[in-house]
Amino acid sequence: MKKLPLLALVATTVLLAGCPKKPTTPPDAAANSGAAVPTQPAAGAATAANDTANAQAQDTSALTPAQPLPDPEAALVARTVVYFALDSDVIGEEFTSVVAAHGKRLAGGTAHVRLEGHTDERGSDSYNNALGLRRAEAVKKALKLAGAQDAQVETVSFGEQKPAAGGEGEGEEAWAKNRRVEIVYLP
Amino acid sequence: MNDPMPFLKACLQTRAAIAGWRHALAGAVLVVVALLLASPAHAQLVVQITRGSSAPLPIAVVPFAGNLGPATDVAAVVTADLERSGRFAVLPRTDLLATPAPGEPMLWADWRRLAVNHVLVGRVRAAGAGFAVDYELYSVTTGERLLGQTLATSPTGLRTGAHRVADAVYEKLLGVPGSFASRLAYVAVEGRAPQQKFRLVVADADGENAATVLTSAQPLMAPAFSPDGTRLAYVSFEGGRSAVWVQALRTGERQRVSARGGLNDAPAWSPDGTQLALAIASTDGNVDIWLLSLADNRLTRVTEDPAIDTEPVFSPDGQSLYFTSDRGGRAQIYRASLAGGRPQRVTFDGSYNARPRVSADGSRLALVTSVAGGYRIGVQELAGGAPRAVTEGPNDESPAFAPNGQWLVFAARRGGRGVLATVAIDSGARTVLSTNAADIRSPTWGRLP
Repeated sequence: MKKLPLLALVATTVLLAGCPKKPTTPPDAAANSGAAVPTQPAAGAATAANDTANAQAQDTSALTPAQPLPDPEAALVARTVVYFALDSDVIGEEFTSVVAAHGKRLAGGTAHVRLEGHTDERGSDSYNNALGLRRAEAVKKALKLAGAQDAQVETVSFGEQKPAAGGEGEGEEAWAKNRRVEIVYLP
Repeated sequence: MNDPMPFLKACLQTRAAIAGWRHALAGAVLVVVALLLASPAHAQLVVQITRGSSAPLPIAVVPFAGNLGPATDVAAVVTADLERSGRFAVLPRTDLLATPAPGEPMLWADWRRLAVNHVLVGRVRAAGAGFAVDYELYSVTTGERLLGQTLATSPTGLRTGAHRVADAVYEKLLGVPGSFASRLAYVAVEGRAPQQKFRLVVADADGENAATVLTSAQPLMAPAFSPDGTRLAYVSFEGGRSAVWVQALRTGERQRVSARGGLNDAPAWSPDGTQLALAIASTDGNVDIWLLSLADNRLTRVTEDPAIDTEPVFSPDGQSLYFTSDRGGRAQIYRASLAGGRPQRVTFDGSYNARPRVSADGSRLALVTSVAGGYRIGVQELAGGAPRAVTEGPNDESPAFAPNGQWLVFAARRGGRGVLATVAIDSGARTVLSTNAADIRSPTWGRLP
């Protein structure tokens, strides 16, 4: 009985050590990515585009099982914000499947996305513009790896100029919400 | 007063002068009305002196003779300027024992009793369509007249004239030029994300005469005055992506000068005003420094590196650019000669140094430096040494030198608000400019046109 908690502790430690980037984005921020979308008019349009595209994806899938099962791809594609660690443009492990799902959705289709890169408010304005663009380009690269064409993806950076809803204010919680790339489906 | 002729002419022209004075008053009233009409959107900046220097010079500023009616109180403007600099302690007006005008006898025993080192006296006269301001600066210790000058102002230029008087006093007594007669530009942000309104504002260095020169629903940032003070370059995100614009301040006429690829950012003027250094992203999103010739819209590449190269600024001789680059892993300052060659690293201390600005004499850099997890404004002597933090943080950015190279303005956060703050590099004197109507940021400092 004594060994089990110890084993669990060791296992947890190993898991945490294996994915050091995970704690940098608070879980609520990740959950927010879906909820934040409808609050913006532009993002609202993106949601509508998502729904259409989802429907198409299901229609054309020959392998759709008879039983309605939760669609893991749809759940991934519903997440349209990728969060980053401080001064980093590396897509964290928890977002690689999200970005890949968007890439697969774009592959072979005609949809277009705009990747909007953002940073938190710390550091210099223009350096942050460049960092935001670098984040957007990192997501673009991942989308292309998953099959998206260059012409389907445009990148833009707003640096620290457009904090996320709820991302105003100071402190790591607010800043973590702002270090992001928003995937916006264009009408 | 040495030459009697101007005095005689002045007597002969009294009628004309009175007519001119009336015009001047009418002009002043019109200006006030215009400001009142515009005021709801133009909350005035509040200036607070947050720290003076340790040994301010005691001085008396006597109300200027003839400075009546609705005209600007020249002595009050001079007093506010000198006190804001942190280098002067101005005797309260109520403590004055006499209010002599230029040319009138000075009772030195009285001035010594008031324990001031210097006395400024002056007179405002109608002259042509505007004003003439006579002023004299005396040493109380020796009785010597250190300054005796007259400056002419336009009908609406009396306030600027007062700043010029303060500049002359500052330079005479401290040996370095003042920059009270100068302007700030900054961005005011109203509302909360994602529904924000951005205004580009130009104001006198003391926060007065704030005027919005552009309003946008998309971010505005990085304003930079042309060397002659007549134009403003800035970044606007109108249309959903960044572009660099140049706007003539007198006419409001604006022109988009760079809208290439994913990023057009950080405009900096060449000393001759013919070129802008810009940060521009190539198609793969890599940001490098380019030069844009404004006459023919020709671009010349300055840096080529897969790292971020941004925030360029010209050296005062126009021969090189300082810029931010993370080519060494973290953001540091580099210098690129425009004659070519590999850029040389300039900052070595600290994990993050960015957004360089060079003093007018080329002797020092102001920059954003990270200290203990926060961001402060640092000053580094170019002759050698490490960045020395001159502010407390925790999130200071966008430093800009006053034209005299003595003071910096920067963006800071106080009580959850974006404010502008100034620091005198050598004396450490501080002021904060704020408004409760908006977050203000992205300051820059320029000459009067």
